[in-house]
Amino acid sequence: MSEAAIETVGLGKRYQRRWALEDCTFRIPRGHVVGLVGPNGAGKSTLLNLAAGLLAPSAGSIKVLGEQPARDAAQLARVGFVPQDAALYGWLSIEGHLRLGEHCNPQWDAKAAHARLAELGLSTRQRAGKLSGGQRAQLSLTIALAKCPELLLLDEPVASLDPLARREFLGLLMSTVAGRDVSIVLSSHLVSDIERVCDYLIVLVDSRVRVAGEIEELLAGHHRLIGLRQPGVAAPANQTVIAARETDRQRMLVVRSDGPVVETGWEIESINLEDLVLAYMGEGAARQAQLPTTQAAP
Amino acid sequence: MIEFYLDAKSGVAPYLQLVHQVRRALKLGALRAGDQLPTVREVVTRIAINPNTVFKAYRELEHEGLVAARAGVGTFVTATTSDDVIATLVPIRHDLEQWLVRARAAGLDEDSIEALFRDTFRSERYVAS
Amino acid sequence: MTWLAWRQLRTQAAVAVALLAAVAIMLVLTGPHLRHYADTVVNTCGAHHDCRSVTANFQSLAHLRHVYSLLVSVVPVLLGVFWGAPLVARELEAGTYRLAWTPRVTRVRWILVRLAMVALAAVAITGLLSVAVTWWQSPVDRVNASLFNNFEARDVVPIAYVAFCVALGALLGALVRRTVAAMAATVGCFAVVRYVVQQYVQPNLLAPSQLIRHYRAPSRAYSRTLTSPNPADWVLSDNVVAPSGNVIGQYGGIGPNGTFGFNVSPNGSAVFSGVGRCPNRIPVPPGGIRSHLTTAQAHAIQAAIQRCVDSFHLREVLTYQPTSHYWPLQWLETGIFAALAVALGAACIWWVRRRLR
Repeated sequence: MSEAAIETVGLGKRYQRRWALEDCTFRIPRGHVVGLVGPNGAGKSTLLNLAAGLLAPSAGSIKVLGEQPARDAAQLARVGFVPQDAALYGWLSIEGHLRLGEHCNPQWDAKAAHARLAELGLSTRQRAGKLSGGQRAQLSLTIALAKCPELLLLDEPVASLDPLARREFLGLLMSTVAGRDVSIVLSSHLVSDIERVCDYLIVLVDSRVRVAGEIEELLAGHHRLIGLRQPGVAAPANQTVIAARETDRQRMLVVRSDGPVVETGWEIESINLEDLVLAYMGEGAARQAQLPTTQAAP
Repeated sequence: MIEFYLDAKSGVAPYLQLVHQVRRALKLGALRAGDQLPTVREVVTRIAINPNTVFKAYRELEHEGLVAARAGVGTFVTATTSDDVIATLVPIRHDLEQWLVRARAAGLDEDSIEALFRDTFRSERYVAS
Repeated sequence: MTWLAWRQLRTQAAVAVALLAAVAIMLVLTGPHLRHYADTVVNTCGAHHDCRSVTANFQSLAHLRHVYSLLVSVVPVLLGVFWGAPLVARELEAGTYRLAWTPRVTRVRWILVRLAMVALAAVAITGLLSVAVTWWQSPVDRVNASLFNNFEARDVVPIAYVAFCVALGALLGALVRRTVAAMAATVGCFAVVRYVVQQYVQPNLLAPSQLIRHYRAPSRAYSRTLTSPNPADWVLSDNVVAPSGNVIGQYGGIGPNGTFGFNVSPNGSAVFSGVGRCPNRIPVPPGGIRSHLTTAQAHAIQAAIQRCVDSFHLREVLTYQPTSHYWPLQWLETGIFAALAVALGAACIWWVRRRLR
């Protein structure tokens, strides 16, 4: 249990000229449900594909469950991957997919897979192409879970699902977590879903990791400060400004607190996950654009 | 049995929401000593939340002495609100309903009623303490 | 894995086999009669019938010959496009390759099994089609002396073509990662490779035979063009060559536009454009060379022109592949494309294993 679920050092991936992921260094302990959030094109899919061993890094290194991804069959068997849009063979029946999974994986819990499909009310004779988006996602997850993986990677698993299917999918996922020792990394741009199911957060902006940590600790360690605008005063000591907004009189900051606020004149509020994520995303956007108007802050 | 739900917009931590819901069910008599709480797996499947959230809520309830975990079986309610207390709830609720009818007759809308209640509740609590 | 590969191919293979069976039935229904007609009526027409009408009748019996030849030429490309190109590309597009790249099934095994199965099926179907069409066409080729006319649609060559096309399609699909683009690229690349092999590789592998004769000016008694020993031979070129080695004409012509053209002035001096001036005079009658000539005058002019042309020391060179080269050429073409197919298949496997990440 001591080895990390995923550990990266200076990880980068380049497609032709563009860096899809750059200089990522983080360590995710095992046993967490990790939410990977960020705007489209921030590198979420790339990171997950690197972890699954479907891509090879262009720079740095990545270790998954202590080993290089897809290094050998044993490593592959420990990691399950649910790709975006539930990649399935449309012409192949559900039964066929299960047979394929059984054939391809040394460990295969056929009984559990069948039980889960029965629970979902899916006939195994149906073709995957005839399934609804929610059913496809469920089948894809069922296949990934039947491998009995120690780490499950999900790339935007619920992005294309309606609210009901999304709830059912996440419910199935969480019941798995409750049942056995499995770490999960799922990417999503829906913070509300992340808030429900995740206990660990990685914010990826502009192909870099902006912040990573346990959600409870992140929420405890970040605050919203509201105070009067004073010339020459950016923020209280021990506070790292993540995002700042100001009017002619007032100044509102989202800060990472490395210690208590000792200066007076600041109203301190706790922050919710959505605002925290938005604060980090906003910084990336501002950095990227480098608009003169954003440099108004001293 | 209790049916949990989660209000994402409330701003209250999810585990606390579960704790509140159990407490309220106990107070209203919906849960009694010996009742089993849904298993963690059942809860997370139904409302799609992280199992740790449910664990944490159940631990909190255990800590308060309201429930007890029996290894391998589940979590059971230990505390109970006596039937007398529940019996007294009935006339109080009846009074409240009558008060609501009067308030509406006086032309108060939902918001005003709620504000009035909360205001009274707060100032009364301040006086009581 | 074999199971999955077979399941993926099953429907398409069934359709292909059904089409093949339909074509085979048509060939079997008409083939024996065609053969009999060629063996009996056409072979002996000189003795009993009017040969021209008999041959015309035979051609109308075999009126589908171009369609069948076209079919054999096109099927390898079609299989390359519809079986080869999507082999990897569609899996990459749909993301389904992730289902099969698993602990038990390595990428190499995945691509190897699928490529081998599709290639084998394509080779089998094309091979059967080629054998059937070649059998049906053999009397036609004999009567028309057109052994080489559909060289790429006979015997073993189509088999190598289809293996090449499937491997090419698979590799392009893996490189381009888009099914439709890979399909188009497959057609384009195959056309280019075939052209290059035909133009620059084949001639150097099996030297064609040559027939050389002293060039004579054409006349009524003398055929303009040189013909190969066997009418079925494959004539590559028929050139008129100057002593310097320059090709100055083709198919018996040495003037502009391939005609036998020269200018004669009224005083009898003549110039062959592009060759030179005649040393002797042409005996031009008073009415000019195009006027009505007596037989004696015509002979004198013909002889003078011949003497003039002789003075240029021209040769006519016929380059051709004799019918005896048919099978060596078949095997050479087959060998080249089979080797290319293996190379492309290996490249495809390497790319999927090493670079597709």
